[in-house]
Amino acid sequence: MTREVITNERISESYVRIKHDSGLEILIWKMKDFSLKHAIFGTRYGSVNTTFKTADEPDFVTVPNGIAHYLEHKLFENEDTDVFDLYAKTGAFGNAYTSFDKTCYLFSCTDNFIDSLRILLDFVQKPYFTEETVAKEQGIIGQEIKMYDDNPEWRVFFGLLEGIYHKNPVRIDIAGTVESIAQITPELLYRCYYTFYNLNNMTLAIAGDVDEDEILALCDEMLKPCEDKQLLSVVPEEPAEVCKAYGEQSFEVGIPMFNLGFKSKPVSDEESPLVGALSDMTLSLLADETSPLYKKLYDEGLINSEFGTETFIGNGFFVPIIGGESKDPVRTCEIIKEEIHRRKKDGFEEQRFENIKKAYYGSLIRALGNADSLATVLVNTGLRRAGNAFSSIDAVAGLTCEDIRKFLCERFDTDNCSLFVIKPKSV
Amino acid sequence: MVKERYYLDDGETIALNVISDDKFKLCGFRFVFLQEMDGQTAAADSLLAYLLEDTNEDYPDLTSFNSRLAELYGAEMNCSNLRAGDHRALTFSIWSIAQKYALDGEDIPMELLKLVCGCIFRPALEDGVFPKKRFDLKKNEMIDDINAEINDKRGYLISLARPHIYEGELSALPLKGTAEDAAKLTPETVYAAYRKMLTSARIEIFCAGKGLSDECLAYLRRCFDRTSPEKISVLPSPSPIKDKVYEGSAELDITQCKMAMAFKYEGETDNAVKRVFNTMFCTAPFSLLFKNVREKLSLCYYCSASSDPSKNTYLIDSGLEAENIDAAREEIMKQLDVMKSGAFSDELMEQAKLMIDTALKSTSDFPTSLVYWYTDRALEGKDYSPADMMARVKDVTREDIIACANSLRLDTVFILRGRH
Repeated sequence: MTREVITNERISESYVRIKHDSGLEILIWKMKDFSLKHAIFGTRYGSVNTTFKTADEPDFVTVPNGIAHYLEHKLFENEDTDVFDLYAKTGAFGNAYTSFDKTCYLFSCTDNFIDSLRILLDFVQKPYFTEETVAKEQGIIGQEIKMYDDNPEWRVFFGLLEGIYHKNPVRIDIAGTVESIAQITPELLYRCYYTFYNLNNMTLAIAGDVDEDEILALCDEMLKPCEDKQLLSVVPEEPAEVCKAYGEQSFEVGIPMFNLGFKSKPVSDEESPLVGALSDMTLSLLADETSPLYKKLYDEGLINSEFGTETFIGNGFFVPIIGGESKDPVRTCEIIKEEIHRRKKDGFEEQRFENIKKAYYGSLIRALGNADSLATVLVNTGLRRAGNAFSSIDAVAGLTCEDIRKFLCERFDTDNCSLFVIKPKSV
Repeated sequence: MVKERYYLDDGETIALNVISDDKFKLCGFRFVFLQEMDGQTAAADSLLAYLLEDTNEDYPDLTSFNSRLAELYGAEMNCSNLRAGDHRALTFSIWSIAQKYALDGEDIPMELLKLVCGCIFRPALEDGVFPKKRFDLKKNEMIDDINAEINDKRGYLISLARPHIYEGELSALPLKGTAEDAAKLTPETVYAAYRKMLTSARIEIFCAGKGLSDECLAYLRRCFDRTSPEKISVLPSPSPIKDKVYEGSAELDITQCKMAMAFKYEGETDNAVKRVFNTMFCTAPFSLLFKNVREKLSLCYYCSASSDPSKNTYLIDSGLEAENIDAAREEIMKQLDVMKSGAFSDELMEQAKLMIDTALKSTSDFPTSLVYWYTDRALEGKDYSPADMMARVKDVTREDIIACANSLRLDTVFILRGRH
């Protein structure tokens, strides 16, 4: 086992990184005098990991879409009991989520932390799938998929991804489709489980007023050592150009909604904190409420307070997105593209850059303010397998206004972007 | 954590609540202006939340105002328009990082206070009223928001059910009025609503962080220089129970149906008892509705519950397939019968109390959660801490829960169906 204290002098905060003998990375951030304790057990396995192999296997295998999310649902059922029933006895709030590139199991509690951690470590390492339980879940997840089908924000987001990407699995709903989940069997679930739930592929992140020695004693007892299987997960080769420059769908909404995204090459884990910070700051300088672009669009009545930006970034994908509600999304996007051209040439105002840098620093500090957001920062850091929890804070400190202009030139190609619009049914 | 509460005026209409703890990594303020709902002025009162949120005399346009927020480490300013029973609460909140993280040594609480008070007391005006151009933009934005309520199908269901649940009461009114009401507003009528808010609303101020400095307190006192109006009390006004259950429905192009079942409590029930009952019945992963309606019978994807203590109502809403509507409703009533008859385990009640204990204890970690907690207490008219509530929860008995379940009467059922 190795133990390392990671400290950041800039904000006088630190946490502990442990590489456990089982292969698991454990990150602990002690929060003195806080009541809430939060633990997240995560794996580098999300909806995009549909084609993979390990060192033991000669060929890649491709599994149905939505299987990572399906597995997350099924892992909550033990052979003899339901995990929620176990958490109920300790007073913990248990939950889980699957994203494009990770699956995380978590709980929050104020008392009985070690008992709750024992439940978490136990059930995530104890899969139990049968034909009967797998079939039952198809109905529940089918309803979940349909619920998202009624959500215009969800549809406008996936409509954009379908326009940006030709083949990358990120264009498909995390939960899969009713058809794809119908193909899931217990055998497939076991195969995916033993591939991705290898402790070498996972991170345990803990934040709160906790005792490190107690945690490690429990980990020694509970963690089953894993051989590193040299897992390789691939996505189909993606053309550099967008799949569709424009797409639309009619929906029961009051006013049109839109998302404009710029196709850009994916980033490595090492690049991720810096590219993420650069993208967030570029989008802020370009289009936040202090920008001339926002003022122009707002004054012309083309946008409302729903207008905003997002950096969509993860393992194998990266898209800067601008979106919101607009009576005329096409005109709005024309103005956005004109502004990008101007900014590529003229750059940004130095004072605004300094303000946005301060605001970005503030947002990173706020994320350290409570156990759940702090544990999320930690698990994201751990699963990224690069840098540390302070990487973004350090990355921002060294940025210049010119860095932002260069990033805009490199990553916001107005000839390689996609617009997706949700139109009201009555129009 | 230390909590203090006192009044800034003799008439006790302006209360200051100071919540202090060194461990907070945030600091901020919340101002709550409380007025009775009024159908005639609903749109004007609501538009204030748009007009006062993002400019003031010092920063008269969106760009300069937001630049100031960015400069204060990305401070977040928010103005909300909320229901509090038959009352409207206009709230102004501002939050940023704690003083210890300031890179340039600026007095963060003081600067936040100046900015938010500027919005409330010194709005950007033109000829004594809100500037016409900005007024029109904000008015259109509110109209857009009213029209966009349909986007959130769950919230839309409640807005359709509300006039039937609270038939003839102030709570039946749409919070923002209608799009037609909003279209008729002028800068003059909304400015009149603003003056009325300043002079007659009951005001609750919350400060959370390391403490309130003397300079901040002095600044606050200077801001609130008004003659005390008549004191507004927010006493519970229970919604009358209908003789016959109202059944209504509407259709939309959606794939999943939504159902709202509104119950009303007969008589008075302690909030601690209601909280334990709700956790056992609906909101916990081990609750009867989650376990049976969702997990065991797969009759719905979600089934959640919310209460309005001042109206004595309890609302269950769920998302489900059209063919499961009747079965789900029947099963919800069947599980309520389990609660009424006391055929639930002691373990279920203990687990509910444990879960509430966790939630209440964790409230003390977050300055924002504590401010929300004490806002609710101020509106309830009773100043007690999360720990005080926990003591009451511990004393809740099986008999209390049975009595609570038996006091519930089904009042309104409203269903949002797909067209196909």
